[in-house]
Parts: sequence; C-alpha cells; structure tokens
Amino acid sequence: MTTEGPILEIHDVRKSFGGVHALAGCGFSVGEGEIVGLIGPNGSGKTTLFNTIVGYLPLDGGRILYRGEDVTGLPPYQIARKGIGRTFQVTRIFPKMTLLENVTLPTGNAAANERAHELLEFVGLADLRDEYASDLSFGQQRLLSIIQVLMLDPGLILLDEPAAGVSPVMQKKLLELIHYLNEDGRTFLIIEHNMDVVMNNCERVVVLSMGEKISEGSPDEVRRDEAVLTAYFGA
Amino acid sequence: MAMTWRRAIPVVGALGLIAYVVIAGTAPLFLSPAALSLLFLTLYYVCLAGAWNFFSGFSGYINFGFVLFVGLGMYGSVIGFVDYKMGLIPGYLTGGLVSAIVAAVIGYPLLRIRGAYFAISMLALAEGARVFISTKYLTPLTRGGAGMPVLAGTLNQKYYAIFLLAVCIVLATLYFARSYYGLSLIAVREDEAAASGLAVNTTAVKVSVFVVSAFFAGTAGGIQATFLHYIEPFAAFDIKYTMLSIVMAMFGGLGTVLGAVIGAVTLQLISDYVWLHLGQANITVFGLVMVCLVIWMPDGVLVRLKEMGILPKTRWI
Repeated sequence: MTTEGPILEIHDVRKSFGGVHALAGCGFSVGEGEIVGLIGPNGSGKTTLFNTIVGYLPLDGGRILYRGEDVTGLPPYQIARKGIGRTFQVTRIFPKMTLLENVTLPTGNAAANERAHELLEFVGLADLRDEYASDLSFGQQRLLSIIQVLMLDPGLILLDEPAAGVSPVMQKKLLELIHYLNEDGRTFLIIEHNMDVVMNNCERVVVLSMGEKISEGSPDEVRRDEAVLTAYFGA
Repeated sequence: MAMTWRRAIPVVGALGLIAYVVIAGTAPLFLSPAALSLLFLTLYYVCLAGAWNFFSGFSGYINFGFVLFVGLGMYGSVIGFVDYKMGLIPGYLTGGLVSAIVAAVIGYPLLRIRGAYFAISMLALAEGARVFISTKYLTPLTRGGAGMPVLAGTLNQKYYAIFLLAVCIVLATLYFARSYYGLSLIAVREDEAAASGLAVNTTAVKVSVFVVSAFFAGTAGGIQATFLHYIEPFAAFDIKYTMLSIVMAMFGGLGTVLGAVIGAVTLQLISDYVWLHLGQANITVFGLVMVCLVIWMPDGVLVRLKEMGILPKTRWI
C-alpha cells in the first residue's frame, strides 16, 4: 500500500509512573495504509504508548491525533468508536461469553450477526460460535481477539505481540490475515519481539528506548543503526 | 441411560417452572390466607434475588448493600400511603422511584470502584441509611425508631402485586440478557477494560442498570411493607434481605434469566422444611448447602448445567 496522509500522529507524548519516565517525549507518525513495526528493549515504553493511544492511560503531556483529529484524553470507548482498535499482549477475550457474543459486542447491537458470522467463518471458528471463548486454544483466542477488533471497522489496528506464544502454523495464519486486512485498507502498528516477523512484514520500523524514539526507517536501515544496536546490546 | 437422564433435566425443569407459574398465578382462588402468605414470601424473594441479579449477577459488582434500595422503597411507599394518601400502585411505584433516584446519585461515583471496595462501600451506605433514617433530621418524615404502621390493600391485591412484579422482573431480565446492554454488562464482568476498548461505554451501562435494579428492589420493598403492615429502621434495612438475595441468586445462577426464580423457590422451600423439622439447627443445614454450592457450583445451578452441556449456552435461560 502507498502512504497517503498520516493516520496517526504522536507529538511529544510523556507519561511517568512515580519516578519512572515510561514515555519521555516520544513522537512519530504512521501513514495511512502502512504496516509499521514498533520495537525496543523490554521497558522501553511500547505497551505504555499503546495504552495512551487508546485512552487507557491519561497523558502527562503531548498530543495524539487520529486522522488529523485530536483524540488526547478521550475515554477508551470513544476512541474505539472513532476507529482505533487494539489487541493485548496477553489476549483478553471474554471467557464466559460465546464466540458469537464476543464478536458482536463491539458493534453496539447484540443482533448484528451477519458480519460476525462472516468473520468467524473467515478465521475458521464458525463451528464453535455457540461455545464459550474459554474453551478455545491460545492461538484461537488470538484470532478471536483480532476479529473482535475488526468489528469496530477500525482504520488503525494496534497489535501487541501478535506472534508471541503461538505455533508457527498459527503465526503464519495471523500474518496472512494482517496482510489481507492491510490490502483491504487497514493500517497496522505492531509491537513485536520476533525480529524475523518485523523484518519480513513491516514496511517501516520505529524503535523506542527509555521512552524515546531512537530510530526510524526501513527494516534494513534500522538494523544498521548504531543507536539501535547500543540500546539492545549496550555500548 | 446417562443420555436420557441428561435430557430429562431440562424437561423436568421446564414442567416444574410452568407448574409453579400456573399455581402462583391462580393461588388466591384456592389457597387459604396462611398458605397464600407463604407463597407471597417466595415471590417476594424471587423479586429481590431477581433485582439483585439484574445488576450484580451480570456485572460482577457484588452489591452487599442491596437492602439500601429495599429499605428506601419501603419508606418511600409507606410515606406515600400514609402522608400522601396514595393509591396502591402509585404508592408502590413511588417506593421504586425513591430507590432509583438514590441509585442514580450514588451510582456514578461508586461504580468506579471495584471488587471488595464496592462491596464494603455499599454495605456502609446501607448501614448508614438505617441510622440516618432514625436521626432527628429525618424523624418528621420517617417517625424515627417508632416506625410507621401502614394499612393498604387486601391480601389478594398485595399478592397479585408481588406476582406481577416477579413476572415483570423475569421478563425484563429475559429482554435485557439478550440485548446489547446485557451483553455489555457481562463483558464488564469478564474484563471491564477490554470492554471499554471495544467501544462499550461501561459507565453508562453500569449506572443505568444499577438504577433499574434499585427500582425493582424498591418496588418489592414497598409491597413487602404493606404485607408487614409496619416498618421501622431495623426491619426495613435488615441485612438478611441482602444476604438472602445474594445466596438465592448465586444458587440459581448468576447472570441468568431464571436463576433467581430457581434459587428463591428452592432455598425458601428448603428453609421452611428444615425449620419445621430441625428448628434452630436449620442454620447449620443451610450453611452446609452453601459450602456444597461454593465447591461444586460456584456460579449456580443454571451456569453449571450450561457448562456441562445439559442446557444450551443461550441467554434465553
């Protein structure tokens, strides 16, 4: 996909927990239709950044714009309705709700079944639609959480380590799904520790360290950047 | 053999329920006033457990101060009858309305806190209300510790009122459980933050359902007050109403449509039987029932049957 205007602009965001500066003036933007990788050592602020984008954490400073509109400080449900969806590092589906209920929830209409059925069919979970989500395998729960987010009809999807802890087969399936949805016009910002996944699937990579952006560019550029190597392996 | 046994449970359950509704609906035609009073009490607990389940069973916000809404409903109705000479139905609805208004006021700040903190805050509010009702500030309205006698309606009228309310609560739960609001509240119970990330306005859902639950509780309280003919703070805000509502709703099945009915009827019958045959030992037996329940069916009979595949995992039941 080609880059049009930025779908997400992050300006100098700051967030501290006590004395820890989880985000210390971090800024970058994501173009419409891109697949951007967000990497960085543990504790570099990646998940905190996700939590501030979707409104779970109030910012101490800075602004976040979605499609040019300031969404800083909006409650999570409003940000979701504007079209930003996210998944979690540890998948958070609703265990004692059926698959169909899990998927229809974001539409705001318990009876809006058609698209839910399509999506369940699409990821191969249609036969289990009346079972509780707690009965699914880990990988299936991951798929379920992604189609839940799709029910928001999001323009931007934030994925927190989508490939972690799932089988290679499921990983392949997830990546195919991401590319398929990207062709369909969805933008992705993906936190991932698996460098092969990042290098082979992202067009652009943003690197965080100590709550700041230390590098940005194509996977190859980032791989050769001294600052990145220092952040990961020490000087 | 095992298969037929599994199939028999839903059929027997459905027949039992239909029989109960038919008997309860026509009882004044053939039951003595004493027997009717017993049935009244069962229906009263169907209302209370149903009203408690309507919010707490679905949301997972365990309301330990539920009696607040029952007691306020009692006072609201009785003051309506005694001081404002209201008719039966307006008086009962006034009780419900008083509770609903209080729920709306306290719901917004209180429903931001979860778990034990919410439970303790509600408990404290219910106790506080009981004390406040008897202070000199409210005595002109509530007559303080002296209490208020009330004479309104015939036994049959009160019986039909509680029966109708029970039916309304069950039908409202049936509609609610299958609606977006019901689904949202279950999602709040399962993972509130995840729900808000999926476009659920969790605060609005919680507060509005809390208000409806309080309305049901207050209306039931009003009917019970006319049945008792007399209210005073300790009777109106008796913690027993909270405890029994919770236990009955939990026994039948949290977040289900018929759980409150099953819990209230079963436990009321067990309680009466045990009381009759064992006297004071009934508390011990009741305690044992609770222990078994927590071990084998922590979410109640209906939820367990759904998990075992004996009942379908549907929100219709």
